Amino acid sequence: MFRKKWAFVVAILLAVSLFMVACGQGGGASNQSSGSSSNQKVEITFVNWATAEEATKKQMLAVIEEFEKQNPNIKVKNVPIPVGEQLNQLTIMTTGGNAPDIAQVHFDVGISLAAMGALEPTDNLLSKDFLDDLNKKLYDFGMWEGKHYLIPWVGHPLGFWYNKKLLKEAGLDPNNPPQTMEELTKAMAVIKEKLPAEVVPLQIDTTIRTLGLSHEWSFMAAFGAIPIEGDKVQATKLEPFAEWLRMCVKKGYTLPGKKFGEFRPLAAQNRLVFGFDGPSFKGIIQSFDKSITDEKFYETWGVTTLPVGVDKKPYSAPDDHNLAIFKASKNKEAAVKFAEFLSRSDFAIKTYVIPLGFLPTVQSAVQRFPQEFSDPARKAYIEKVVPAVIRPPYGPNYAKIATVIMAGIQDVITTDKPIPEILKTVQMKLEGIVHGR
Amino acid sequence: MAGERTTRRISGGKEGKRGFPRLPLSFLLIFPSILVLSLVILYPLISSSLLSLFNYELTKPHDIDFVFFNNYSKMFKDDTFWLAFRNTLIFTGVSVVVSLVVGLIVAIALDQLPERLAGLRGIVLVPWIIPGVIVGFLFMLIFDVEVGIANVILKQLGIIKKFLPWLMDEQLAMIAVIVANIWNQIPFYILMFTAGLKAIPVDVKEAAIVEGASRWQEFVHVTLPYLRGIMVITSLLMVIRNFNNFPIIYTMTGGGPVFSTTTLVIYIYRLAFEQFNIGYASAVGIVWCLVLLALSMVYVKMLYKQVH
Repeated sequence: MFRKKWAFVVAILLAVSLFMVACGQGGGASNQSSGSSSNQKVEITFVNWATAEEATKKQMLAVIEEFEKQNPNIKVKNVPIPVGEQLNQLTIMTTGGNAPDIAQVHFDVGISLAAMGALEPTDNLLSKDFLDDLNKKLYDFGMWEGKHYLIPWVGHPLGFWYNKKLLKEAGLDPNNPPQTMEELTKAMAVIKEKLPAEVVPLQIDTTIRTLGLSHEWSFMAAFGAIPIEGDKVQATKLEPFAEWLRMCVKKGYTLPGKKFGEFRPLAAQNRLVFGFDGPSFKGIIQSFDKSITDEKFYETWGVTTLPVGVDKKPYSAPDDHNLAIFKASKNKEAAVKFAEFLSRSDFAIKTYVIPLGFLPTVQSAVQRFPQEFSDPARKAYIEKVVPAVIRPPYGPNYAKIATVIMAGIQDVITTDKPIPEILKTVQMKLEGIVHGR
Repeated sequence: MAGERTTRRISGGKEGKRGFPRLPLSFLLIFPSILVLSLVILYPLISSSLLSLFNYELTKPHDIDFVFFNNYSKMFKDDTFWLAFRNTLIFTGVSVVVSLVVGLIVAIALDQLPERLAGLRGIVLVPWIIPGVIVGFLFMLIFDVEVGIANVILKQLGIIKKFLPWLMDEQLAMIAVIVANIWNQIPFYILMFTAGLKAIPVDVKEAAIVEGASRWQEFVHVTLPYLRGIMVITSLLMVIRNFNNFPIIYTMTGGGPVFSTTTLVIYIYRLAFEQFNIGYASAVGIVWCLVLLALSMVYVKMLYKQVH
């Protein structure tokens, strides 16, 4: 009898649960039509890491405040989320039917969201003026299946920073940084020998993250092969790079398992010699140590392109910050207005882009602020680094690809396993992902 | 008597007017909570079971197929799944055994403390109330290759010659996360054993000593049998808890280097929220749930046995 009652109750609970599951399957974010009445006060939700980081928070909040002042009908609801959590938080928000109106994203995150169908294509949203003014190369990096999904906000390609003071202390020419990978390796050996053990020669990200792969992409290219080119998987060709990286870790030329951001405090303490970082490196270092003035900074640091490898070409990876408009947004018009304000307005450029060391993404900015964009670092970025940028294989599989490659890289630097064996496994797994096997 | 109470009916008779079985009052009172719990547990469970039968990746919304048990067969050929399963067993097994032994020793030591030092019992509980994420960060710094105090102490003691990359070595990383976990959970054992020790009748212990038993014999033949029930229940509870441990491992190593500290729960997280492979993550999650369910059933059975 008691069993019968249990069966009865369990049956009811199961029925309720099944009913909810069935209802849940039909749910999901519905496509909302765009457009908002200009007289109506609207609120847009802005997900970003700019206000989650101490170095950029104050300036970003000032830009938001100014935008609200100039657009009294639009209220910006600021949602700070750390940079490393953008993809999973935005995915959860989108699939939970709670997508923001606009978000700050890197290319890999933006393209993944576009592939998910979470973003609205931007070509028909942006004003013609703005489209004409945008940096075309950067805008095209944000394409997925023939459509643009990302609005370039600030330029942040990775350049090769060198510490002139430490180079001099090591007896190397402070004004002549290594031009080739061979010279870089030799310089690191000298640094390790002549400078105290606490000095770290090279900043390189070896974490299992998409950002880790993007950071290493240019190094891989310099050593002669990137793991995926179009549909072609060629992880086994990474051997020279893998050998070099294993040697770097074994000889203490870099710290294994660190995110590239974790090397920045070392740079602020004058303990890093070579960095591979974006133009905001300067602003971030100054935020760690307020006593570092612009003058002091440029006395210590110089920037150029990554040393060249076998093909004598310099490479850089895009770490630029973009804005994405979500398909589910009810206020796309207001969100686009905000995006254009962030990328193009005098106020945003003066308050956010210039002081933090970023590069502008609209061509008119350099004409409007010629002096501000002519400092030695930005000049080097605009003239040398930006033309060297190559695009990693962003797409719906990028996170999987990054996990496989970076796990292989960690295998290389933390074990003594034969490198060809490790790369063969990576190759096999990548072929499975790329060719769907 | 208890049986009578639980079977008392709201009204007499075996079946209601429409043939539905009549439920005992106790059951009706507990039903709302069961209903709520079922909705928050059963709903995701059923939903995950269904998802595990689909090839469903969030980044490929137009490519969702019903693949039946493909995700499960893929799992059995997946090296990383087996590695994660093995890591889960190592992490759980070592954590539970070491915590149990150390917890018992500390509990016995604390039990001998004079009353004026009773405050110490409260202090040893501190690690238990610290959230896992904070414990993870603390130990991440302790084991840092550059500034970690673990290397400094071991070098001072002459145990190591150069600083070790604790969190970037496949073997050392697992040791580091286990140490952090043990530090975090030992107080729970201490608490349980202290309570158990207090419950042992003093005259039984004294009788053993009077009969000529040594301290060790008294411990083995009197104290341990009294604590056996607590040991089993506590260990099972901690096995379940450690199977689920996420924050300490994720904060300290993120499951790396390579996949050397990736446990099942970390693997599921990575599949679902880093690779967006929801179908496969659900399949792994279901297997993980089944293992936990089996352990929970053993736990409930043990508990029931002890109560009766």
